Amino acid sequence: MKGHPQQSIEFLKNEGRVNWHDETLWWVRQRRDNAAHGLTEWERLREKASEIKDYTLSHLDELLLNFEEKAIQNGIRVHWAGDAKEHNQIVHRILKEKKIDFVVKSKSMLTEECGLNHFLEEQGIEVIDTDLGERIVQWMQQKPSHIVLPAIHLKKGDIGAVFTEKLGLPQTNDAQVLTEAARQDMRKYFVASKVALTGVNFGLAKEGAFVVCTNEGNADMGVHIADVHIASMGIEKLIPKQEHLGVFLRLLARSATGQPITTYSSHFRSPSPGKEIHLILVDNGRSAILGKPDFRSSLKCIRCGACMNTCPVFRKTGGHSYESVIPGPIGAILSPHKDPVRYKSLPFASSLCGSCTAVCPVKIDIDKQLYLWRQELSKKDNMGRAAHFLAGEILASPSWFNFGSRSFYFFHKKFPALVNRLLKPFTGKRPLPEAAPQTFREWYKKNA
Amino acid sequence: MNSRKEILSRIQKNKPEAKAMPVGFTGMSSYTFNDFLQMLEKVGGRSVKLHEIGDLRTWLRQEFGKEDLVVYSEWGGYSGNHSLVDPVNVDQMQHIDIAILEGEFAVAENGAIWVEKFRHRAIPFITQHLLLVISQKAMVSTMHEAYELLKSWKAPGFGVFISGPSKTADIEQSLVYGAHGPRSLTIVFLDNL
Repeated sequence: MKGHPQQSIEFLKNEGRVNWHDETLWWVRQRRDNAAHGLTEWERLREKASEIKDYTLSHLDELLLNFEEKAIQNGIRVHWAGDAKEHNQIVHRILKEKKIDFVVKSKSMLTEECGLNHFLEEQGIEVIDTDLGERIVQWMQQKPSHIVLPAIHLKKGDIGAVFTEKLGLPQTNDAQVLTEAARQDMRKYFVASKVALTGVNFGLAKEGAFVVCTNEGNADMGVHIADVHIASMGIEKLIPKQEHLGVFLRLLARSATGQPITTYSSHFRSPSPGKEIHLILVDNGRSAILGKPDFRSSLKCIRCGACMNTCPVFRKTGGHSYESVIPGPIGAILSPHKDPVRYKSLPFASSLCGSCTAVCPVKIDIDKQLYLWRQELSKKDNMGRAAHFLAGEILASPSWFNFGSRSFYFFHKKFPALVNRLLKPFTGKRPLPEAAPQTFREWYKKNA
Repeated sequence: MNSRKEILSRIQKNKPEAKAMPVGFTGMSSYTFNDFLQMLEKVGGRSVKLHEIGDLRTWLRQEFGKEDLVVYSEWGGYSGNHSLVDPVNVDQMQHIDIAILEGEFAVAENGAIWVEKFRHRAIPFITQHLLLVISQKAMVSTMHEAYELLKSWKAPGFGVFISGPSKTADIEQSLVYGAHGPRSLTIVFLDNL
């Protein structure tokens, strides 16, 4: 595994694009600020959302049982999946019964997590991602680089080119023309599809209902035309009751894009007569995270993406550098639970500035967990442990520190190229400046 | 069935100490009719007052600039030129230019309208343009009050808050209306305040 620093090299090659990415996400962050500052009760809403999610996690088994019972009463078919594989098999079983060869799917990070598209394609079922950004990255055989803005790493030129390739549209950079072409093309699939897949934003335990939020209307176009709706829901997506949506829907879109609410907040309680709704409750490691007191609050996440938009490392390195389904600060604390070896570099892709924690609508202590993960992961890494031990000793002793800094100064002055080479990847994109004529300590002794 | 048991038992073993159910949210800002109009504009929608536009048929023709508009209406105050026959299928719906539906109530803080009455759930999404007819008096201030009203939500199995026309900004963050759903949203207010 290459890890975040090596993985980001590709993205960093194009400085203009890096700056665009950085500025655009910062602009989204500012939109979030404007929306948040427009509500005097914003901080109290965050507090309440956090309390509700804490309550949910501490009663998750009872709430799931209640949710299941009510959902079944409402005519929803409920399935349970212990892991990604079981989830994919449940979906496949339903599709096989219906004898169909393609499905339309709206955005769902959970199905990405489960690798559903790949699995279904291996079984000969085509998956059409209907969210425009996801359709674009699907066409380019890429993964979303952001959970809310899947194609934020791409420029109009790239997107125009793939429209030319896939739809025969003359090359254009006009977002209006491109969106219209995607709309026309996608309608063909919407009107013909028999089964539609969606994620779930919130499950309502008391009512046995669930809510899906989109701006494009793609989830609704899919599920209302199709005969069968399959909704995949992480078990942590539950909230105790519908009235709590008042808190969460006020926070979600404002945190994500600065909108006061998404265009569509669709509440599903039972299928139309003659149609089916299947809801798959997926664990896939969540119940294990619940057992880790330092880390369980990451299960409160409502997937708004605010931590990504504000993160200086995410903005400057792009979502693909994380190589995880969920990138950015929240991805960096969730992914190592899945695979601590593969994702060991992610908690280090942070300056620990705490900006993520400051904007999180459900008050997850992301920066603290990044720090704890570093402790945890370093225990397994002998080189890292030795380096940490050494750094601890040197920084704790003035004489060792003085010796260390004088030695570094010596080598830096005499052999700058060697030092730069040894310090890669830190110096890869920004070489050390030339050594000063004297160390600060020397200067201070003379001038103080 | 096995997974269900296993998941539940893992949760039981791993869940933290029980927390008390938080009390309901109180002390929210209050929003007015004018806030609603501002928010509606911000989310790309617009509103008209029925008594100010005169004849709706003429107005629709002017606004949507087409002689042979397919207008489907579920609002008793206007009959369109398109009807649906049971069982309603997509072929009957996909050529609708304008759908006129009734909204239940509006939310002032975010320009959203709660909609739950339609012959077929796809109508508010598949139509090219959507008109929602609603009384000016049917308005709540925030989402908290909206869910107070919806506590007694019983009848249909599906309902939706709609705030503005369908939109996307997936191409370089350029905002485009008419992603997959309606290209425009017009709120038609029925009475004077």
